[in-house]
Amino acid sequence: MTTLLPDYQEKYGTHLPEDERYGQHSGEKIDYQPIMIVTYWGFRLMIGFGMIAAGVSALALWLTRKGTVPASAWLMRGALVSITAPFIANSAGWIFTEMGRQPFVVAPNPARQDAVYMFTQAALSPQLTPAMLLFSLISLSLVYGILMVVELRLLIVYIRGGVASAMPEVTKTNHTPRITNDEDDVLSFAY
Amino acid sequence: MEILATIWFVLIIVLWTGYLFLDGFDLGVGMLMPVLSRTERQKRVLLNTIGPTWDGNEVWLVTAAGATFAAFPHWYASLFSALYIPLTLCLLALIFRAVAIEYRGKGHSQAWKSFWTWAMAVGSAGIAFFIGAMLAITSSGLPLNDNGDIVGGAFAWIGWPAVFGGLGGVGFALVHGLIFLGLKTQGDIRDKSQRWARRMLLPCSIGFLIWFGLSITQRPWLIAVVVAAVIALGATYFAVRSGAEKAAFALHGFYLVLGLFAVFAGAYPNVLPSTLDSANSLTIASASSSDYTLTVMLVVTVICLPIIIGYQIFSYRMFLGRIAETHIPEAHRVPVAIRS
Repeated sequence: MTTLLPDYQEKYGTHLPEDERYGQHSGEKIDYQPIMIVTYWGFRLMIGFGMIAAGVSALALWLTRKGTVPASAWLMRGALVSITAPFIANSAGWIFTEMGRQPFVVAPNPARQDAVYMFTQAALSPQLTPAMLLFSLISLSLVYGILMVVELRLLIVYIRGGVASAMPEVTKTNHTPRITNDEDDVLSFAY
Repeated sequence: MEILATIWFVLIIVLWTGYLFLDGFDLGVGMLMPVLSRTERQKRVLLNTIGPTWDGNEVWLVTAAGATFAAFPHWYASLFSALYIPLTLCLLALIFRAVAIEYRGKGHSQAWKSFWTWAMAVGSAGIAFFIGAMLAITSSGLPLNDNGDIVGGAFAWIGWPAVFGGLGGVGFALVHGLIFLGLKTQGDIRDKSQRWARRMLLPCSIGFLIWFGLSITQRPWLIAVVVAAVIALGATYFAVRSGAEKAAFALHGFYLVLGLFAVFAGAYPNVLPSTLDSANSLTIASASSSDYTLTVMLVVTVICLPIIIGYQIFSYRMFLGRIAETHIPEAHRVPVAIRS
């Protein structure tokens, strides 16, 4: 960090340019240091919980390889808790990327001569008003909030329904005979 | 030379045309779900005709918007920021429609099913309207200042092009969906789709016809293309009437291709004209990325596009054939919870 800071200040300046693109922020001092605790832990949470999600999936594939479902209660509880892993990994990874790249919205690519980069303060479209941003923020949050409640309720219904609700073929005792006549066949997957 | 930018302009119009052609029938079927089919089983027939293809078709929208962003960042920035409110609404419609398809079968109450059926219909109509309106607006222009920003606030895009394009988009999708259902179903729904297609074809085409026809004001020779599009539409009508389902579907697509060709050949080299001052118009030269970017994108596209088209053809062939009510399995019910 201490070696990178002077390097950045030399390459991209210590203050934002005096330009109308930067609005009220033009000429402000640039803070090149993102919030380190978020960057540090965001990355580790993303990788950690991502690995847990992948590991649990691989384990589940292995345990159900003979077409049977293990009956251990502890395994079931673990499986339930592991539902949260990909959500945590996704969210942590997203926050890590968005916050870690500040103060840039497009982080510089130093490999090329004509390095392309953009400070966040210059990224806002001048034609957008705060009301427009509020509109999208509120409507999207509302829709995602409602869908989260619906999704959680569906998850609970399916979890309470047990293995049979998600994998009817595993618990079916007598297999339906294979129908060769196309006219009488039904779709094996249907909405 | 602007040859690279011209190639990318053509490619992007091809992507938007592909999107309208492919997702057009998905959106139409979605809008028809509450009205064309009476019973629950018939509704599921409609939903399952687009079951294997709807999400693949929607990717054309992502690709078209993404390619616009990468190849013409100034076009994307001006257009998408100017249409911030309608495109947010379009996004909400896309979310609701996708969720409706996935959730509808996961509950069993009448209220649950009819809520998601209507979410599907309203979402589909919203997408068709806003995408149609957006394409009409980008060809007719917006009040842009010298920085490419819209003048006049969040609703300055409202005008006749938005109305023609939006209603035209909904009308096109409805007819395209009906013709598609004629191809993909059996029995009652097939007959009804054909009947409805015959009645709705001409009134539903008015919006797009006006938009296509306006291209003549840009380049008079385009009247030949517009006339060809009108002939294709007339031929579609006769194909629908005589029950030539495959021909009707192909001709309706051909009508779209000709019409969009007229519109964007008329707009060329503008990608987003300014209605205030033609000096502010965004053109393929002023809006495009660097030649380096366009070259890299072209190489990737030349390699990937045939693969994508190949597996889409494969998936359509895989699911070729008509769906009848007898093909729909019993709804899968979640067993009642057993308390231990």
